[in-house]
Amino acid sequence: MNPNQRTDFVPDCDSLVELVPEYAFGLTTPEETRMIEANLQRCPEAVARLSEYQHLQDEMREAVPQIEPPAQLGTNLMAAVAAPSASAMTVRPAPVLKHVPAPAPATTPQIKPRRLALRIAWAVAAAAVIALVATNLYWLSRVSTLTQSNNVLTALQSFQSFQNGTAFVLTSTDSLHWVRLAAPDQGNQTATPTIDTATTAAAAFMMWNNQSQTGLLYARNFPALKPGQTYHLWLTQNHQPLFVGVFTVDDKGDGALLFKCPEAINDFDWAWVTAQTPQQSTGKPVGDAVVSGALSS
Amino acid sequence: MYSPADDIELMRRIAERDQQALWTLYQQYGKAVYSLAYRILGNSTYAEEATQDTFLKVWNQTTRWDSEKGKLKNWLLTIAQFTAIDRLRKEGRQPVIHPESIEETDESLLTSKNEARWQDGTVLRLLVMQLPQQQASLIELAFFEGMTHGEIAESLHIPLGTVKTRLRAGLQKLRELWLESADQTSKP
Repeated sequence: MNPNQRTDFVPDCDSLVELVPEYAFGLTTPEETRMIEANLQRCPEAVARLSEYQHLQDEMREAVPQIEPPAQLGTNLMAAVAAPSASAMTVRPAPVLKHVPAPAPATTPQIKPRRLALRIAWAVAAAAVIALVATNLYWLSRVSTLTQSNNVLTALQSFQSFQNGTAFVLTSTDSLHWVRLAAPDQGNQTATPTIDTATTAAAAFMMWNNQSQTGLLYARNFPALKPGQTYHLWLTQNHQPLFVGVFTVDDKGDGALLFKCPEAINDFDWAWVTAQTPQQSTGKPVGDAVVSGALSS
Repeated sequence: MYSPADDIELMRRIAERDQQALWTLYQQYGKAVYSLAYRILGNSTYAEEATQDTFLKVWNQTTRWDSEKGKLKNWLLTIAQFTAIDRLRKEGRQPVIHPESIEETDESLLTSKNEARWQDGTVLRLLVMQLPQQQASLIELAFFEGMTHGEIAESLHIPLGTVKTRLRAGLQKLRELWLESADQTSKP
């Protein structure tokens, strides 16, 4: 038996140094790997040699001929990221509050205090959002309020699951803001932010709270996207547009986006959505707005 | 030019689910990731999928970058390499020796003090070309296709002992050439 293959074998430093190249390139056997890892730290020369090979590998990865990726690759990536919001809109209905995560008991040992606080905040915020949608705004109340509310809830839950419940910023039910973004020829109706479901005009509903840098956009009746395009949400501050996220819509034109801004959403004065490719979104929107609206309420 | 501090901030924003930050990361490193994936897979469709999977792993935080342990680009390319090799295994590998894209060898480049040549990989590719073809090919298969000694021996119908000897000698020689070249580059 090769002594290098014995896990209880204590190799000398020279033997370790000799094996380092193959170890660095993943070519050692499991036994050799265990032996090297168990003894590496007592041989500074082997540690230094390993570091050299790791830097060499870094340069080998960078040394490949550079090829421009296909134009649609970025689009596909961002659409894949946006997909959970869109697909969430088509899942089965369920009782409105059934899936709202209940606050865990404070004594639950597995949940750290910060995580617990976020869960509680999330549950409150999700319930508040649903209440806001279902009662205050008559959001789609003329057609199946329950189903549409469930869709919003499901979208939010999907985000929660996607983010492992750690990244929500809708931490307060105070000072919730909402605005309706309408198609350019429909006018902005922030005073009465309802969507007239009798029409097929594209519209979106956006909500956030005063301190939050996170908001929710719910899109309805959006036209089908052309290949390679995604919907882009933009916010404007002092005439400077800021790209905040992309989303897609289902075959009915419905979609949602939970987005995060580098600054409080209250500091922005306008929002609008365009249909464009990610390659076009290098700092400014391209094309006409599908929907738009002022953020001041 | 991106700084390490920019990378740290970018990854912090990605951890907070900022899609714009992911798009910035893709714009910054997408080409390098795609190029490596294409080099390994030799197929644009598979390379696109491997590139997308690489960035989705970052987005979904299945692995996390430690800024203390190295550059963000190196970490990303390591994920890309393993992602592409995994894809290669699933698709059933066909060992391919890629011809180097550099047609002529200009020895003067090896001692050039042009830092950009290190960054674009020209010098390292020239160093690999200095190795005996048999050694360079084995390094190629081991590193870019993730093949083991046994897999290489079987694919190329070479005795296992010969593969081990040539690979070890090739890696040691490449390291020596690399250190010599880096040393010459750093001399005033």
